[in-house]
Amino acid sequence: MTKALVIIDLQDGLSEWSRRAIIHSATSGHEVSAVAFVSPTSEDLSAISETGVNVRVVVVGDSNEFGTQYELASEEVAAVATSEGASLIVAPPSVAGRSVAARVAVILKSALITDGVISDDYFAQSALGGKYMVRSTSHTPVTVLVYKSEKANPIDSTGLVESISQISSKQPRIKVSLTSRQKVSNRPELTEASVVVSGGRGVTEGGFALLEEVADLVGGAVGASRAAVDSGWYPASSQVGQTGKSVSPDIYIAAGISGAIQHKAGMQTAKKIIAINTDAEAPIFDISDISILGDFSEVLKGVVSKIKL
Amino acid sequence: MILVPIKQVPDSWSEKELEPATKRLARAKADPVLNDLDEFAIEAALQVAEASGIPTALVTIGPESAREALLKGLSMGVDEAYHVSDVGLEGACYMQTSAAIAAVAKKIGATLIFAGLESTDGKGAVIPSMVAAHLNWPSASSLSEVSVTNGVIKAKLSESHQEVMYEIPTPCVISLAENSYEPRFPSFKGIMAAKKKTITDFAIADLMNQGFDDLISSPTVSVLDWQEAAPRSKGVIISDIDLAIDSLVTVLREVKESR
Repeated sequence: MTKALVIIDLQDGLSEWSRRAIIHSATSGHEVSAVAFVSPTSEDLSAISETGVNVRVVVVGDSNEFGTQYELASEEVAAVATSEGASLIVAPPSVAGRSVAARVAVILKSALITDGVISDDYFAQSALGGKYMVRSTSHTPVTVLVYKSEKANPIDSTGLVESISQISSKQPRIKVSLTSRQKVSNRPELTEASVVVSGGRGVTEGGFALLEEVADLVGGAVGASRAAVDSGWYPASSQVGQTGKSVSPDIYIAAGISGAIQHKAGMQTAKKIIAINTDAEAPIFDISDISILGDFSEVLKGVVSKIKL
Repeated sequence: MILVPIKQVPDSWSEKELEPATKRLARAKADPVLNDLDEFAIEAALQVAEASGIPTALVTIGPESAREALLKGLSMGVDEAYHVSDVGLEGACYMQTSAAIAAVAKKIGATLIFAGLESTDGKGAVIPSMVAAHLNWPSASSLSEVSVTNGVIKAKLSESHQEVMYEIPTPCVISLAENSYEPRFPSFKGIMAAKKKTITDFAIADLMNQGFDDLISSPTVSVLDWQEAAPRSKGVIISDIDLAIDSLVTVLREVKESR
C-alpha cells in the first residue's frame, strides 16, 4: 500500500481540513502518516482516532512558530516524508500550507498539484473558478498535493493513533515576532463551511452584522464580494471570488451581490445558490437556484426571527 | 537587484475557456493584462528601491504578447526587464516555471525577489516559495509594509487570527499580499521612458548551466483531459417577501438538521 503524509494543523485542535485530509488519504488507498508542528493533546489524538483511520503522527516541533517558518517547516516535512516512505504529501490550501508545499516539492523534486483531490490514479483539479474539472497525472515518484477539501464521513472503525516525537533542533534563518493574536473565530473556515452567507455592495457596512447572525444560526461562515472588501466593510480574508477564496458549500447565500464573473468564479460550484437582490437584472440570478427579488435586510431579519422560534 | 517576476493573465473580469488542442487556457479569448497582484509587488519593489537605491528588474515567461505586461511595469518605473520565451516552456508546470525564474535570478545576480501572492488565473500561490527553495533562500508570503535596513527585510504578515513581523536576511524571496500597496499609475513621462528601457530576451538555452537545467526541461505534471461543469440554470424568482423567508428557512433548517 502506498503511503501518504498529511500536514495536520493542531493550533486550535484538529482542524476540519486536517480531519478531511486524513479521511481522503485513507479512502483513496493510502496508509496514513501525519506530520504535526506542535505536540497533540489527548483531545487531538482522540479527534484523529475518530476519523476511523490508523494514523502515525510524527511531531517535529513544539511551537506555533512553524506556521510562519516555511523554510524550516518544509525541510522537516520533506525529511519525514522520506523516512516514512510517503509517495504523497498532502498540504492545506492556506498561505502557509501552499508555501510549505511549494518548498517541499522543490526539495523532493516532486510534482506539485494545487487545489486538487485524488481521483483513482489521477488528480482532479477544479480550474477557472469551477468551470472545468481537469485531470492531471504526476511524472515523479513523490507528489505534493495542496488538497481542496471535500466533506468526508469518518470510516466506520476505531483509528489506532500512534504519536512519535522527532523535534527539530534546526535554527531558522528568519526571525518572526508575534505582534498580536486574537481568538480564532468560532465560525468555520469559509472553504469548509456547509453554509456561506456573503454580502456585497448592496449590503453596506452595517448589514454584515445581520449576515453574521444568520451564519451563526446554522453554523455557517460569512463571505464578502470584492466590492465590499474594497469598501472596507469586511476583512480581505473573507473575500470570495477570482481574487480571494473559492468556496463550494451546500448553500451559498449571496446578499446584495450583483454576480460579476470575478465573484461567480469563487462560488459557482456551491450545491445550492440563493441570491437576494433588489435588481431583477442582476447576473447572479442567472446562476441562482432561488432568486429573491427584494431587500436583503427585510428577508434575513424575517429568516432570523423564524429560525429562532 | 530586486527582481519582480510577473505574469500576463486573462483579465479577471472576463470569461475564460480552456483550449482542447493545447489543453491550456485560450489566451486569445480573454483580454490579456498584467496580473493584478503583481502590481503590489512592483509597487513594493519601487518603494524599497527609492529608499535604498537598489536597482529593479522584471522577469516574465510568456509569448510575444507578454511584452505588454513588461512595458506596464517599466512604465511604472522598474529599471529593466527580462523576457523568457521558448516553445519548451509553453504550458510549463510549476517546477519548470519556478526553475526558469530561479535561473534568471541567478544569471542576473538578483539578491531580492518580490512577487505577487498568486496569479488570478492559476491561483496556486506556490511559485515564489518554489523559486526561493531552488535558490536555497528563505522566504515568506503574503506580506505588507516592507522595508530594508542593513540587508534585512522587515515586513508584516496579517492573518485573520494573528499579526507577525518578519526579519528576513538577504538574499530572500517574499510575496506581497493583495492590497498591500497602492500601485502607482504610469505617468506619461514613465510611458515614454519605458520605450527606451532594455528588455532582454532569453530562450531556454540562455538559462542553462545555472544549476536548474533538468528541472527547466522536464515537465513533472501533465494534463490528461477535462470535463466542463454543467452550466447552472436559472431557478425560481420569488418576489413575495413572506414566501422568500419561508423558502429560505426551509432550506436552512434542512442543513441545520443534517449537521
